[in-house]
Amino acid sequence: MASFSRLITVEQFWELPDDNFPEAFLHELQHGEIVALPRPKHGLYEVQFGLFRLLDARLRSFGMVGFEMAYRPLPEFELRAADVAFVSQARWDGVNPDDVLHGSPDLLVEVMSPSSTEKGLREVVCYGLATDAKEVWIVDGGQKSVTAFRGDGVPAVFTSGDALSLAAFGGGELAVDEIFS
Amino acid sequence: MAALPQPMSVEQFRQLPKGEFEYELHFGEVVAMTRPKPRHWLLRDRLADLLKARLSAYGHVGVEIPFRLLPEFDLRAADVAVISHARMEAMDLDDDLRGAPELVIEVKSPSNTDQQLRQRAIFCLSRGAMEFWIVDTGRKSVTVFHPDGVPAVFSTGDSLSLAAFGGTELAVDEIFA
Repeated sequence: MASFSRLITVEQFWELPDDNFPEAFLHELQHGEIVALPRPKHGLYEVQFGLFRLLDARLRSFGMVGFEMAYRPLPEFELRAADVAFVSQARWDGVNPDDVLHGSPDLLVEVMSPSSTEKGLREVVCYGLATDAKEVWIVDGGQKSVTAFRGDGVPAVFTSGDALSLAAFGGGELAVDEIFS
Repeated sequence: MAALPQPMSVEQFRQLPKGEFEYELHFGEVVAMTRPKPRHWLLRDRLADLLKARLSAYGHVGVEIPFRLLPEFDLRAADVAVISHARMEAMDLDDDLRGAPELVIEVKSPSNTDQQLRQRAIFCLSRGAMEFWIVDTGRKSVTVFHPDGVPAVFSTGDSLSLAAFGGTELAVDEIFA
């Protein structure tokens, strides 16, 4: 029977040479293990980048809107990237320049891809809401819908004709049709 | 495309009817746990007794201690756990412990995979545990994870340090005697 291998810490992950990270993949540290994630294809990238621009236009005066924003949902052994994220200015100003955001972004957006699993999405939602995220959005390009999870975990589904409130992040709203236009 | 998650809250979980199995809530998902066989619970109880004799000044030692790993969506139980007196005094006795106990011990069962146990170690070490032990009855060994992530394996003839909990040590051979 194999013995347990060591868990990789965030510091160790950062110190690994570049040849551990083939450019065809994005890499995260999940549960102390390096996980390679396929880079998004064009359609997903368009949705992801479009959402970043829409949110940036609405929320930049309240904080930082990021694309592939790194964060540490747990203090150790986890280093993930949000497809799109918003962090309040106060939290952003407190991030150590030699580290990344601790906890989850205030708004954590995950764009579903063919490699997404229900278990993985549930983990993102539960980690997020338990570690500083006010909302977690799951964007489904196929269904042209956005499912928003708030503190109680109850999902609210927004589709064509609906608008997502941005009140928790400063104000305004975002029409679902704009995301998928 | 994956189905959307529907995470269950701790309150919703507590209202579920009792069933044939024991259940835990892992990241919003209800997980059925098999009931332990005598080999498992005898070892679990023995380990708890050994720790009670050594760590009573530090805290409470118990078996099947439930705890909320995350503030919401998660409620699971440690086979054996040590919780400091300070945290016990601050605990809402009508709720469950928030975060992981200072020492979490899992007795490895046939249904556990190494990956599951590694993940459980990470979650606990990130949420308050100072050590996470995996007791393997087949190998008669104890694997200890510390917050630096490096596992240390102790087997017959070795002793486990209890210094982090104000104690001295515990011989592996006593656990499997």
